[in-house]
Amino acid sequence: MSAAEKAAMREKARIAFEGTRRERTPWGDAMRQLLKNRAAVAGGIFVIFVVLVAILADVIAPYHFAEVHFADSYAAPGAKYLAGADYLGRDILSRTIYGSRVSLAVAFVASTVSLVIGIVVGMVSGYAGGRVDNLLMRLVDFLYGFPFLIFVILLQVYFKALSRRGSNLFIVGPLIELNNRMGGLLFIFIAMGFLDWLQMARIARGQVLSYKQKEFVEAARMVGAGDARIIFRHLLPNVLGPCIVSETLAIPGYIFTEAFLSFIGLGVDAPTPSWGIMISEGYTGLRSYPYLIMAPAVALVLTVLAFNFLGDGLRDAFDPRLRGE
Amino acid sequence: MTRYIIRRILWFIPVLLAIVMATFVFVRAIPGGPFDFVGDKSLPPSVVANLKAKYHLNEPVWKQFARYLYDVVIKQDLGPSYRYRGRTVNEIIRDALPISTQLGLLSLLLGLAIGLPAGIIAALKQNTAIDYGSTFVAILGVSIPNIVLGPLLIWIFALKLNWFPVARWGAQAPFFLGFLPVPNLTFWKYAILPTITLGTGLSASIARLTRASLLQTIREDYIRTARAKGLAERVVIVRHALKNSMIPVVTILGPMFAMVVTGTFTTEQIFGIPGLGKHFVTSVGNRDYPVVVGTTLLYSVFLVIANLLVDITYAWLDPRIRYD
Repeated sequence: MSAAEKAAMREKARIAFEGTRRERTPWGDAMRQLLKNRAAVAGGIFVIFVVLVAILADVIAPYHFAEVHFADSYAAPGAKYLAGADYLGRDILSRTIYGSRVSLAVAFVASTVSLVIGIVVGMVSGYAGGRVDNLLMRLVDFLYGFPFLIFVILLQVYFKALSRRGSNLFIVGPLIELNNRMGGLLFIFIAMGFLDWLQMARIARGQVLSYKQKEFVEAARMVGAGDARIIFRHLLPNVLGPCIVSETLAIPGYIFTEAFLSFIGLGVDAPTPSWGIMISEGYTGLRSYPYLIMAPAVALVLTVLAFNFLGDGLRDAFDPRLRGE
Repeated sequence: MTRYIIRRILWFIPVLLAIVMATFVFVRAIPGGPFDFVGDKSLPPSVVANLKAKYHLNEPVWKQFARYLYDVVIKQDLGPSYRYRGRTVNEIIRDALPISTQLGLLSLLLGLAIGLPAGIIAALKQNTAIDYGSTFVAILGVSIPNIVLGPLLIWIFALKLNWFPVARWGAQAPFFLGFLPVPNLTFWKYAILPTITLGTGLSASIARLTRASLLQTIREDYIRTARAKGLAERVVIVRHALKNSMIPVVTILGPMFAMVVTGTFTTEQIFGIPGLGKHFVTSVGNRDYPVVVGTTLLYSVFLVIANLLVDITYAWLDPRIRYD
C-alpha cells in the first residue's frame, strides 16, 4: 500500500469517524432548528435577562419595593424616580423589577406543578391501559367541563380567607405560615398548578400510547427491565419533550392569570409588588398619572412576548411538520 | 347524528350537576358568611341568625342543595341575591347578560374578521414578509393582556384624542330579541374601544391557530391528490384545505364563545360596563352564594352547549368524522 493510498484510507476513516461523531439526534436537530429562529433566540435571551433581573433585584433596584416616601407620592418620572412613584411614593421602577419575581415564580412553579401532575396521571393512564386508563381519562374529560377561572377564583378566595383566619390543622397551619412568608404566592401556585394539568395528562398519555408498543420498549422488556425502569428510562424521555414544549406555550397563560388575579385583588399580598397589582393601581389613576402604568405594563407585555416567541420556536423546532421547505 | 346529540345532551346532566354541586359546597366552605358585614359594619348576631334562617343557611348543606336543585329545575329560579337585597339572581342575569353578550359577540366577530384572513394569508404565503409580519403582529396581540390594552386605548383615544367616551355602555334594555341593541351612533361610540380591547386577543389567537392548522393541512396527502388531479389552486385551498383546517379553530371557538358572551371581568371593569363579568368575581368575595352558583351554572351551560355545537361542526368540516 502506497503512502498516498494510506493517506486516502486515513482520510476515509476520519470522515467516517466524523460522521459518527456528528450523529444527528432529534434533540440536536431541534436545537439547531431553534437556534436558526431569530425570534425564538431573542425571546430566550430576554427570558434569561428577566430571570437575572429577578435574581439580582436586591442589587439593581434603586429602592426597596416597600420603601414609602409620602412626600413624593405620584412623583413624575425624573432623576429620583426613573419611572415615577406611586400613591405611597414607592419607586415604580423598583417595584417593577421586584415584580418580575412574582411573574417568573408563577410561570415556573405553576407550570412545573401542572407538568408533574399531568405527566404522572397521563403516563399511569397510558401505561396501565384498560380500566385504569378508562377511569382516568373519563375523569379528565369530566374535569374539562369545569370552568377553570371560576375555580381559581374560588380557591384563591378560600385560601385568602383561610390565611386571614389561620388554622391549627396539622399540615394547613405551616402551609399558611409559609404562604404568608411568600407574600401569598404559595397558594397561587397550588390553585393554578393543581387545576391546570388536564391538557398535559392528555399529551403524556398520547406519547406513552405511541411509544409503549415500539421495538425499543419490547427489547427492554425482553432483557428483563421492570415497569419502573421502562417508565423512567425509556418512556419518560420521550414523553418529556412534547410536554415541556406545550408547557412553555402555556407559560404566558400562567403569567396572565397571575396578573388577572392580582388585578382583581386576589393575587399576592401587599406590599409584595406584582405587575398585575401595579397595573390595577395605575389604571385607576390613568387620567392624572398615566405614567404609573407604563413600567409594569411594558414589563408584562415584553416578558409574555418573549415566552411566546420562545414557545413558538420550540414548538416549530420539535414539530417538523410545521417547517417550511 | 341525532342519537349522538341526544346522548351528549344526556351527558350534560351529570357534568352540570357536578359543577353546581362542587361550586355549591365549596363556596359555603369558604370561611366567612354572606351577612358578616353590611358595608363596614358588622350585624348583630341575632340579625345574622334570622337572615340565615330566612335563607335556610342553618340547614345541613345536602338539604340546602336539594332545595336549590328543586328551585332551579322545577321553577327555573336561581334564588335571591344575598347582597343585592330584593333582587333575584334571575333578574341580575336578565339585566347584565345581554350587555355582556353584545360586547362578547362583537369582539368575537372582530376576532374572526381579522384573525381568519390574517391566518390564512400567512399560511398561504409561508416564509414571506407577509407571513412574518402577520405572525409577529399576532404574537404581539396575544401578548398584550386586556388589562394593558384597555387602559392604553382609553388613554390614547378617550383621554388624549377625546374621540370616544372613557367608560360605560351605550345601550339599555329593552333589547331586540332580548339581547340585540339599537345600533345607533351612541352605541358604537361606547362599544368600539371595549370591542377592540377584547377582540384583539381573540383575533390574534385565531390567526395563530388558523395559520398553524392550515400549514399542517396543506401538507396532507389528499391535498396533493387534489392538486394532482388538476384542480385549480383556489378550489384546492377553499374546498379541501380550508374547511379541514378549521377544526382546531372551531375547537377553541367553543370555550372562547362561552367565555366572552357570559362576560369578561377585566374588560367590563376597565370600561365600567354593567355586564355580568363583575358578578363572577364580586359574588365570591361577598359570599353571595346564589349569585356564585347561578353565574357558574350559566357559564357552564353556555360552555357545554358551545362544545356540543363544536363537535357537530366537526362532522360538517371533515367528512371522515362520523358520530354513530
